[in-house]
Amino acid sequence: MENALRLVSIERGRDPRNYAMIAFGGAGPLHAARVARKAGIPKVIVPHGAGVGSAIGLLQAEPRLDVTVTRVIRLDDASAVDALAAAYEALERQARREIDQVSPDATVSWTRYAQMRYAGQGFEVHVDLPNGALDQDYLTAIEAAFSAAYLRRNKFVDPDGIVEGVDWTLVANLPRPLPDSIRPDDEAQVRSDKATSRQCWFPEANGFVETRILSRHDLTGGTAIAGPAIVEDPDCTAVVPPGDAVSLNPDGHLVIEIGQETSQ
Amino acid sequence: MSDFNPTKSVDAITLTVIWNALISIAEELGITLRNTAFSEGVREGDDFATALFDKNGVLIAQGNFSPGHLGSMPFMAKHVLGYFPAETLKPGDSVLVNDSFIGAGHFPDTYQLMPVFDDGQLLGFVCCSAHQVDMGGAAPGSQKVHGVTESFQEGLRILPVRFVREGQIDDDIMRIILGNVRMPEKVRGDLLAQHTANLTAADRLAKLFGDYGRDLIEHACTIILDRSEATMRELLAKVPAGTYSFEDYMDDYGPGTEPIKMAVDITFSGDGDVEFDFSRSSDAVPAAINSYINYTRAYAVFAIKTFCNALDPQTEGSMRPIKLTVREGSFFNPEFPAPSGGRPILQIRIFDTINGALAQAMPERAMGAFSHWSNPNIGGIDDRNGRPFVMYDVSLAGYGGKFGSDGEEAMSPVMNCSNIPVEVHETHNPVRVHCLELIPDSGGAGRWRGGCGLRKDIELLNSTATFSHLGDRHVYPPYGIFGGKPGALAESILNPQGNAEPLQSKETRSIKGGDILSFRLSGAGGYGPPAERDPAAIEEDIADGYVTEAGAAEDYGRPYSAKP
Repeated sequence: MENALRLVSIERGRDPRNYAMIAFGGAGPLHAARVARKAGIPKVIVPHGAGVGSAIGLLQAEPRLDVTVTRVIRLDDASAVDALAAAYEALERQARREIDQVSPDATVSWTRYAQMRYAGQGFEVHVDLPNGALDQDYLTAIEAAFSAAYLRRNKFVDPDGIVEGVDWTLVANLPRPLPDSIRPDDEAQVRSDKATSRQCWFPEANGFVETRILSRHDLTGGTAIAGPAIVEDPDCTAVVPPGDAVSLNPDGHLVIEIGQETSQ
Repeated sequence: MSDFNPTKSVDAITLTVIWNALISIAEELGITLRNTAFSEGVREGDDFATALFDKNGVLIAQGNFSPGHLGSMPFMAKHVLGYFPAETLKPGDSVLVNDSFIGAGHFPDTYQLMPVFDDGQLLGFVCCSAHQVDMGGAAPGSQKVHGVTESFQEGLRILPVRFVREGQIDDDIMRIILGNVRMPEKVRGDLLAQHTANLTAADRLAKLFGDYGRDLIEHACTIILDRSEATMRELLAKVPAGTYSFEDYMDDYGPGTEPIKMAVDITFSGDGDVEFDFSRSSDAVPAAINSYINYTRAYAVFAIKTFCNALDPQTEGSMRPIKLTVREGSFFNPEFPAPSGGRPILQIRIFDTINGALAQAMPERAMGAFSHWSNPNIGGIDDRNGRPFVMYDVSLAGYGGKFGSDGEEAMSPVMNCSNIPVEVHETHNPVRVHCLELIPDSGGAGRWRGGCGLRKDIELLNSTATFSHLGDRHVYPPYGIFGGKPGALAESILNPQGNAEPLQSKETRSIKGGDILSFRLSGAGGYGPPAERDPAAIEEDIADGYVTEAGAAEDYGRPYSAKP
């Protein structure tokens, strides 16, 4: 795990000491604090719902449908407007057909994007396209959108370059069926009344030590609890080794501060 | 080694982070170049390199790209700064050069070196090279070998010029270049791609200086240079002291010409220095295949890194212990205007020659000679649209057998290039590839077998075209080592199903629609006596098609059949 962490930080020229680690998955928060200490990362955040993040995302995300067609269209071509209009009309028909099968009464809002490049290049940049009628002015607008995207990425635009699109995508955005926020632990509060501490083995302490067993809700109020401690959630368990401290921030996320004296 | 001041020490994590950040800037420079380039050679074949220099032009970091370009970088930068001393450069400037002596040894490789400033202060330089699809001259692709007797026939020579002035590309210089090349759109696109890539890297380098401060980065760079020098010396000191020599021959330098002797004497001091002497090699030849000193040195450095397992990132520090002596006017140190367009096919031969010598010092790191790769250029005017085309091809065959394993096929030997996909060639050029396959029985037999040769048949779908061949090993086969057999000779054939006319490995000729060029690359050399090969490996070779039953009987002295 330490090597994997190195690959995405130090090996890319990013100093782990300037970052916080986000721990997720059912088992991630078990190991996170220890890995963070080895890598010199000062802080670990265990978001609420850390063990079921994908499920929350799936339930909360706005349903959308992307349909794409590949048509190399040079914007300086006399038939560019017609070709683009034909491509997007066909895409809309395709999207409608698919939406009608699952959600025929949905109110759909549309957005567009494309993969574009200078004619002659072999790789494209992603360009979010404006909405609007597919006319000659639209070509000017998407060329400007391309230039902005290209400049942002490559720090240069070629004023004499001929722009072409390769892949054209239409996105159908459907209304969100669920409330804005899901807090899985709101309804399933786990109380830690039955046990507040037990003997746990920590390599840092070279043996068994009395360890506090908490639920996330026991931390409400922002007070930091010194490790060793174990914070049990319905979906994951966070281990706070000796020397580190854990608290709950106002958004309901656990924050583990890695002890200074051991972070080298 | 510079004085190390412990009071200014950089902690280990910060040093590693800065070092990797510098390398990642050089890597991303290459990615931007690839993503914005126009020619197939740059955007598919990765025929380019990238580098970062400190404010004095000392090489600090490189991307992992073409070694011939990479190893030339430090010397290119010093020459360019001779023309443009740092104090004469302004923010937004960029210098362009393609001279064979200053750069990577032939005109198609254009370098752009861009100073990076912060608030008027020079921080360092970013740089990239790219192999342009054409630089004018006698034949499409500017790599014609035979009949080209001086550089002036090879196209446009650009000594260092201020190609970009304070952020504005010099349209006059651009017009001169584009007026002299066959594919102006691609050359323009690739020149702009180089500039674009430098701009993105300059932005990141300035940000890195901003994040850590100038003093800290400069101090880190000093440590990086000293460390990489110390590591290289440590590795070189492990090689037994002594002089190791080897000779091999190129077939010729064009139809009806003499072989070229490639000789090297490599002396290890035993305490961390190594000196290459190529002086016993042939004189420079009156054909476009000479190896300018930067190119010779680049592959000597590459070979040392490979043999000594010097995996640390390359810097000017790691190159300091490696000295080169080459007689002036010889094949490996020619003087202007010696022509050199076809020098790309030398890189594996410089390596092979060094490999033959170092095998004596480090037998377990050596290998049989590579198949010789093929680099033909086919160009003309496309009947379909009246525009020029150049099909710049790279055909890669076998690695030599090496200690512990057989040679692989179809991977780039020593130059980090990629195969250009058949589909890309067929989309952009009026050609059809009929055949792309390994040739059974062509790999040199041995305890570890050499990789097979490769056959590629290309049909011209245009009325006419000019074909410049660039191959070798049609006369002198790739050698085997420690008793391994040589690989099979290469052959190039025009219209194999018609009159099957043999083609010379460096000839240029006109071809017509329907002609099929059939390239059969040599097999690579084997390692160790064939008698010591594991019989099970021979049976597997037959089952996999690398070797036929007849070939196995001949090479290994008794009948074998496919592993059941």
